[in-house]
Amino acid sequence: MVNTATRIDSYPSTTTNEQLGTEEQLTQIRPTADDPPPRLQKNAHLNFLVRNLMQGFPARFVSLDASQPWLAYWSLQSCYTLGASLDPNNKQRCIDTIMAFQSPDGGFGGGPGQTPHLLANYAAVCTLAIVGRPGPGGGWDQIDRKKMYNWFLSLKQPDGSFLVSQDSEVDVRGIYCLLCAAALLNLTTPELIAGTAAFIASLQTYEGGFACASHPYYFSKSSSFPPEAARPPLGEAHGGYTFCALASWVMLLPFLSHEPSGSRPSIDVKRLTRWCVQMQGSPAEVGGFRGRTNKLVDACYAWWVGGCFALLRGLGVGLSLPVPVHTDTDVPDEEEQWTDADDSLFNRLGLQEYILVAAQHPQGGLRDKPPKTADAYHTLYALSGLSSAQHRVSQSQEVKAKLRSEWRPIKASPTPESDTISQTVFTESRSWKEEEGSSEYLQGAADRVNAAHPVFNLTMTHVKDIMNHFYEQG
Amino acid sequence: MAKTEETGPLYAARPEWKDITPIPQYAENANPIAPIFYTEAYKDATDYFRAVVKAGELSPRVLELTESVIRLNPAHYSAWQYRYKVIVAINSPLAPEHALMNELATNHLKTYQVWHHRRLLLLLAAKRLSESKGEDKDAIALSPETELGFIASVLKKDEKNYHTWAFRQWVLATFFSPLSNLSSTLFSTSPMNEEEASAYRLSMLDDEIAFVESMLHADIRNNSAWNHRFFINFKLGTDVVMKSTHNVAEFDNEEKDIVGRELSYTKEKIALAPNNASAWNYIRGVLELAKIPFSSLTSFVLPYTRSHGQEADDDQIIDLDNPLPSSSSDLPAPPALEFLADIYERDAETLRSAEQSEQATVKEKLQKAIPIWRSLSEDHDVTRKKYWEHRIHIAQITCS
Repeated sequence: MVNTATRIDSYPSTTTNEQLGTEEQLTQIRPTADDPPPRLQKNAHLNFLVRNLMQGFPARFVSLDASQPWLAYWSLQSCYTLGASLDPNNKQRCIDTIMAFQSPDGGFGGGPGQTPHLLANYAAVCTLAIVGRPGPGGGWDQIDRKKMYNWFLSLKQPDGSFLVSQDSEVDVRGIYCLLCAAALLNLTTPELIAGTAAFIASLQTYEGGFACASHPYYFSKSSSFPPEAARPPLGEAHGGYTFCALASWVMLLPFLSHEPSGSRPSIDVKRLTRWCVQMQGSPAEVGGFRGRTNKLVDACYAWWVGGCFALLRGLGVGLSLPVPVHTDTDVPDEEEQWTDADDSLFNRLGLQEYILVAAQHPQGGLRDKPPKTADAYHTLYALSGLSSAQHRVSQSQEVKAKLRSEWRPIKASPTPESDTISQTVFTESRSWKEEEGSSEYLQGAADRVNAAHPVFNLTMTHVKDIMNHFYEQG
Repeated sequence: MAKTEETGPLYAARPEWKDITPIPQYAENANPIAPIFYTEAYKDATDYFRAVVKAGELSPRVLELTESVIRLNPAHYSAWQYRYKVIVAINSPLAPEHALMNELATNHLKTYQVWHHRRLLLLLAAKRLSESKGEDKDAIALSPETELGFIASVLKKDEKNYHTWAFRQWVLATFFSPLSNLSSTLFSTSPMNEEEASAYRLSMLDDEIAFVESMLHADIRNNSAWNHRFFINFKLGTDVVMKSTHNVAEFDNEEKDIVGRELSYTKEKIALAPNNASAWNYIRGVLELAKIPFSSLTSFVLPYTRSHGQEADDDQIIDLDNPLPSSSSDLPAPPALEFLADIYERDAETLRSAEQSEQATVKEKLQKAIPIWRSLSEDHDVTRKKYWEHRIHIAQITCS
């Protein structure tokens, strides 16, 4: 095999020292030809997840006390990604737990009595999408949507961004979380999203990925809205923020045509694509993804960056690209036949190998990298990343047309315009579909995990059920 | 008396808290999913915290209580929020709060809240100073210069900490940018006129360049430092970014100097470590921002695309503008190969849009790029095989 160890140019630094140390660790864990091939240890992971859900977490996890809906979401979404489901009693337990986090002022917080927070709110809504149902005690109809919407508006900033919570920071994760909750619960309005796409666009750095926030010059001398050039990104291009920015962009894109063409914000998709592919590690890193240039690979970026490729397909990147059948000549003749090929832009099997070889903890659960321990966060994002490498998910124009033709106007819609907005969010969200015959497995279909919705990171079924309810369809 | 090491006696055991009835997180018969097993001290402090929030009490003793909760769990955002509310409500002095933050930030670098709270404190200090016309001696202690010094000391220990860098950029954008209404001069003990303030700001930026250079000297591959370099040169509203159109042809001399200086600096760093992705991304970023064609770097890039021992004859001539790769570097460097292919592809695009060109010339350029992408996909960068093939396919479609 070609030596793909990082080239240090005989000029070592802290970065290359850490990098080579990680490559050494990964080499040690990599199975040799005599070892059995690595498989997805579904049972071990389910045991780990059930233990977390049922027995809970020891005191050292106190740092997650303000992230209690996340513990539920990470664990439950992991179970359903693995194809397992919960019995009605435990579902009810989950619903009751989450509902205790709802603030009397609207929105969900990190635990009972905690202030509502956009990140916690996303995790709570997604958990209810997984385990909830309509009717009394089912969670869905006990969400105070009106208060949640007003709370969203109270967080809105003049530059189109949102605070994650009262008196708190602006962070694109919060915006992603808000847009997801608004989409799932049918709360999107022009007022809510005005200026948000321009804010998202301002986060793209010269590298192509996105940063966590940008500086609005709140105290700007000019009374006019700050020009794009004067909204510098704060922080560097980062996998987690890039996913949140791109998914937000994909959700906002259908509404961009409403903005005047001269001031319509745009992002550099080519540079973004390049940045995403550059994040994948070499064979010496077993094909995992890193989250920033010159940082180490980490299983969670399997989703944060690996998951970006489906979203990029939504923007038309690499979609159904015709390729010549004969690739021995560089320039094909006009008459040459074209055919579809696997148009993925990243190394799908490479990423699967990272998850199977490096991310699985021998005692169950998944982890950043050896020799770390497994945790709920890495378990979900490693599994979701595995899903993004196994399946190809894209928006189906066919499904979109069908949903649009079957659309029944929502009775509660205050205006025809708001009904159109609901219809757009519904059809755009629901038209993501696993492409048939496009699945690829490193070792075999026994390692299959469910396809994840590329925007929400829920199963397709859960998205369908909760959206049908709140949009009065189906 | 029950006592915990970090936060003193339990609140339940303190006579001065007798008037408060603690509120437990869950009702007694609750059976929550995925529960956390809290320590006695944490349960005690948060039970009292819930009670004061419910009662809406804003008082000095609540400051102490929120500190207890934060020390036990610095990610407890509600405690941070409430603490800020109390500081504002009781007009609490900022200098001791800031000192406490220095201690907490050092111990909890990765927590969002420790950095955000500092932001709130700095803004509050600026507000109090401007309202008191500089008389608020307590607020002066939180000067943005002191803040930059503190951040620098933290970054020396954790060189790539995302929030620390982002916070530094926020301080610079808020207090050292001509676009901001706030200025660090609010904190100065002697008043400055506009000219002095502007000269002062520029001298601060020189210090900032020196700081980022020291970080890059310590680790040439620190991407956070490269990103910061881009930020201070091009994003702070002091220099190039002031032009509404980013086009080097319209830059004034000072701006051209900055672009020129940055290109030279980055070339030197690429020469030392040709496989350093951070430096290549930086140089691409500068070229794109100033709308300078990639092809202007052709002579610089070529030696990095060949193996050692395959130098072209003219590589022997010393060209100060185009430093050669160090003799012990690993060549060819994939980022250089990618860059060279991009030069050809971009040249083809320019030709295509110029219209007067012939299709043959466009093809010729693209056909120089295709073998480079092929060598990347097959030999030099196999991980991105799919991506390089994608680039080839797009070029082929353009050609056909």
